[in-house]
Order: sequence, then C-alpha cells, then structure tokens
Amino acid sequence: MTTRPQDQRPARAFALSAVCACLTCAFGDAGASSHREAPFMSTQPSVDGTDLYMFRSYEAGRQGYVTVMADYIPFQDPQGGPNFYQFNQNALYQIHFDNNGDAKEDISFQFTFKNTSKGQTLPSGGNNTEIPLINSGTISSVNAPTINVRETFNVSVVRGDSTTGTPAALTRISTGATTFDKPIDNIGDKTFGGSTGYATYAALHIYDVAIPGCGAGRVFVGQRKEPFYIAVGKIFDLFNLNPLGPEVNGNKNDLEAKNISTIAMEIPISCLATASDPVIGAWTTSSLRQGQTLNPTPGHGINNAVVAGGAWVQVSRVGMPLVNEVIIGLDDKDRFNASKPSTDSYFASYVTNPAFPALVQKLFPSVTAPKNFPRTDLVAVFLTGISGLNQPKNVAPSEMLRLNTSIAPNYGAQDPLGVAGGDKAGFPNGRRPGDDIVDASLRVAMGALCVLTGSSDTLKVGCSPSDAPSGGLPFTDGVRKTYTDFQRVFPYFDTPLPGNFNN
Amino acid sequence: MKRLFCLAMAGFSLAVGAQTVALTSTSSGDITGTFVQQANGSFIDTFTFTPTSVAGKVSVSLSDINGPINFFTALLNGQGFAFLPEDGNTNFHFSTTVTADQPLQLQVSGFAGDASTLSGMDATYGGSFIISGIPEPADIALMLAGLAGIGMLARRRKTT
Repeated sequence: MTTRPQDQRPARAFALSAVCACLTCAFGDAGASSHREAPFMSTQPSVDGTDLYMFRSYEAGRQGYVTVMADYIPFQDPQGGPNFYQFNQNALYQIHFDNNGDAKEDISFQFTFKNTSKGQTLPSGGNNTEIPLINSGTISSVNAPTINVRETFNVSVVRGDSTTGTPAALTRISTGATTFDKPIDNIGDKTFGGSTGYATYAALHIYDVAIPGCGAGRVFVGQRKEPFYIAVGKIFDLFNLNPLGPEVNGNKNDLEAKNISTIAMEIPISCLATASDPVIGAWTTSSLRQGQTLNPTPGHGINNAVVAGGAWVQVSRVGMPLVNEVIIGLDDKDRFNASKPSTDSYFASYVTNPAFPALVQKLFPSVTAPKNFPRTDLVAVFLTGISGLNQPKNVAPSEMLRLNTSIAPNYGAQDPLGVAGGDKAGFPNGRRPGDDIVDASLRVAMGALCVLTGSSDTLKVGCSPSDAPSGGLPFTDGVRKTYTDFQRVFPYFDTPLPGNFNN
Repeated sequence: MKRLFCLAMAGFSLAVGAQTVALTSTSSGDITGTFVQQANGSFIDTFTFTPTSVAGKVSVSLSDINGPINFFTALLNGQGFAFLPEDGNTNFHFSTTVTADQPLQLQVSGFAGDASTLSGMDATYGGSFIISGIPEPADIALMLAGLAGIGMLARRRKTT
C-alpha cells in the first residue's frame, strides 16, 4: 500500500514573462492576519491559522531567545460555551523554520492535541447523570478535579523535511513528561475565583521544556485576548473609512472583544539560526487527515462523531500577515493554504502585479497606485526579505515571516510602524504584538518603500519615489496599539476576556 | 496474506460500493469471512454479512491486493477506526466487540490511486473477518448450574 503525505505534491509549473521569471521562484505566501480568509478555511475554524508573530524575546533576561506565537481559531466570543474553543485532536499544528534561505523547513515543531471527557456526573433522582458542561466547579489548578474535559498536547521537533523527518518529543524539564496540559478557556471570573484568577491559573501552564538538540525553552498553549487590531468591518465594506484620517482612535478595533488560541514557544536563538546566517524564516501550518467519515451513530463519548484517517493534508498556512487575506486572489486562496514556500512561484503574479493597490485607487481616485511593475518592492517585503535587514544570504524567493536574529530587541523604543518608523527590530523584520501591520502593509502596498529608498535606491527594492506618487501618504485604518498594550512577559499576549465579560 | 486474498477471489464476486459477505463457522468455533473489493479513486464501500447478526470479538484485516490503495477510515457497527500512515503499518487492522442486537455492517473509506495528486487508478483490496464467539446467556446459565451442582456435591461429601 502506498500512502504519501499530501504536502509532498509537486509544484505546478506555470509560465511567467521573462521579466518576472527571476521573481517567481522567490514568492511565497505573504500573509498578514488571516481570519477566515479562504473559502474552505472559513468552514474549518478549529484549524484556521490567523497570525504568526516572531521576535527577539524582550522579557527581562531572555534576550538570547526568539519568541514565536501562532494564533488559531478566530473570532472567539468569550461567551462561547459550553464547549468554548478546543484545538482539533484530529489535526496537526506546526511551526516551521527555514534557516538557510532555501524555502524549505529545517526545523519544525509539531503539536497534536487530545481532549478527554471525564464523564462527570451528578446525582439526580437516584441516577448519576452526566453534566453538560466542561467543568463542574471552580478551577485553580492544572487538571483540577472539577475540569470535565481535560485538554492535553504533545510537542515534537523535527529536523529537515517535516513529513519524512523523525520527530523527537519535547519534555518538561521538571518532570520529564511529554504530555502537557492546556488550560481550559476563560469560562468566567466565578469559575476561576475572581478577575485575576484566570491569569494565575493560566500561568501554571507555562512549561520549561527540554528541546532535543537545542537545550531549554518554554512552551505555552492556551487562550489569549486577540492581539490583532484592525477596523476589519469597514475595510471589507469597500474601505468604508477615511484612509488618511487619524491614526489613533480614528476607528474602532473590531477584534477588541474577541479571544484567540495561541501556540507560543520561546526557543534559543542558537537552535534556530546558523552561525553563517542570522536570518530565519518562519511559517505556521495546520493539517487534517485526508479522509473523514461522519458516524451516523456516534458512540458514547466526545470524540466519536467523526473518524479521520489517511495522510496529513495541509489546509492552512500563515507567514507574513495579510498575504492570503488581501493579496492572493479568491480562487487561489485554498491552494495557497495547501502550498509550501518552495512552490510559491505559482502565486508570484499576485505580488508582482497586485490587485489591492489598484482597488484602493479605484475606491479613492485621489490617490495613485504605484506604477513600477513588476513590484520588486513588494517582492522584497514578502518574498526575499529586505537586503541588509532580513534577507537571507542565499535566498530562494518564498513567502514567510523573516527575522534577523542579530538585531537586539528594543523594548521602550518600539515603533508600531516598525522599519517604516525607523525601528529595525520591528515589522517586517519579524513581527511583535504591538506592530501595526495593517497601517504598515497598507503603506507598503501603496509604495512606501519606493519613497523610503530614495532616488538612489538605498534599500535595493528596485523602485524610486517617482514610481509611487502616493507612497508618502500616511495610510491608516485608524486603529493603533503599541507595545505598552501587551504584557512584557512570555507569552506576551494578554489574559483572555472572561465568559462573563459584558460588551 | 495477499495469496489468501487472491485465492479468495475465486469464491467471491467483485462489487463496487457494496457487497454481502458470507460468514462461515470453523471447527474451532470461530466465524470467518473474506471479501475482495475493486476501487478507482475515492471509495466508500459498505459490507453487510450473512448471517446478518453475530456476537463476539471481531478482528478485521484490510490489505491491498493489486494497485495502490490508501485506506482512510472504517466504521464497524458505529465504531470508528482511523488508518494512520505514520504508524508504519501497511495493512489496516482493528478489532472490537459486537453484539447480536444490530446487523453487522462494515464501511471502509479510502482512495485507490495516488492520493497525493488525487489521480485515480484501478486497484483491489481485500478483507478478512475473524469473529471469536462469546458465550450466549444460555451457555452462561448452564455453566453456572454446573458449578452449583459441583459445589453441592462437594458440600454433601464433606458433611458425610
């Protein structure tokens, strides 16, 4: 019998003009926030990867580490009980790293989950009847007796091809255990003993781990307050806002009352970057089994409605923010989610000849989209990294979030516009919680790099200010946060809103 | 195993999508059955059995015979089983206990061909059933009666 992982499928060849040929092999998936961005993914919330963050750790004493955080399961209402938002135990969640620029993963971390019902009962008229909730009382400890559905996960590291490499389990340093408890979601203040109870409880699930071949790191998986901020409703309503209005408090953050599920790791820099190149690239993926069968007569239990088998098939991919959301064409979004960076040439024209700036110009005729085609400036941001900043020495163009690990963190001086604001430790050199990737991406799309690079093209992005008549405008969605809006300790994202939250 | 299935082909007709499998009793008291099924591309095949209902521990083994077969899942009387390639198995084995209060039914899903490109190919797979019987209530009652009789005899001898 032959069973091959789906993500080994060969790249589909496609023809581009000679001008674009050198670029196509370099384009990957440039994605920003990616909430329900693709037709199929909008039906699969439990494996919907939304955002990837990666930065040099700026918690005190942790400068030798890189923090990476992958967010899944979007648009969580804090009140979403009784099941809340559990990871899919029939799925594989991964964070991949490329440390030599060849668009292929060199180190991957694989997460799998298990959700187990304890079948707790209460006496009722002489019967012991199962309760309908995931908890039967207050909770203050890991796997408390009052937790009715225990959520656990395992983490492995794989070197080389993630589909053929040999996984090695991460272990908890204090116990040697390979299975970790995930905190159940923030049901509400009464469940966790007050408004600060959940933060205390969740902190019990930050694990010091031994990473085979890497030394020590930290892992946390659990619900967090949605860190991404955007006036998303108005943007999708044909930009029903003033794109040159106030940058701060100009519009409401539509995700302010939402939670998200985060997979967070803190990994030694020496584990991820090589001695010959400090630049690393990262992307997160989720995969489902190729076959699923609905059981018309599920047995007693919480995991019997569906049986899933066969090879893992990748269904979600997130690297740079907003790529699949606003760059990839609608009919290729599902394909992008199933693709690997090494096959990104298929999507190259979405970067070299993007539709988004043309749409902005159509909606706001007073602004002019950049005129340089192919858009080499966008290729630099999304596919190769910027020369001298976060471009690998030997780069194969591909979409991923790239970080120069030799640039020290600068807590206290973080600019939410990142590189565009003169802060080289920020987006697109990695991504931090406070970075305003909506404003930054909007400005880059409209040609900000062509203006920044000047007539002598100091950034080597292949364009000049004359190519981008509107490249110097302060485009914004009117929503702004900064590093001060987030905690300064791992896992950086804030405590999730409780179920009793009244918005 | 492959030879077993090839031999079995002579005695069973091929069908697409559904077929009925005859179960036979062996001298050891087990009930066995085999089948062979053709497929091309995605398949969800349903197998029913004669006699329709049995009780006991059912061990099922599925294997490819000709061409590439990728098993995904199986449902046996409502119990689900997943084929996980990373486990390294080449055959799909599972077992469970069934009772006689519902018809025995097996549903198998998978893909015949190259599942990584969804290119369908003609292929054939086979399955074997071994059902180890569990005592019927009447048998249990008879055994208990026998034990009670032995106990009474032992007690009578002791008192005399």
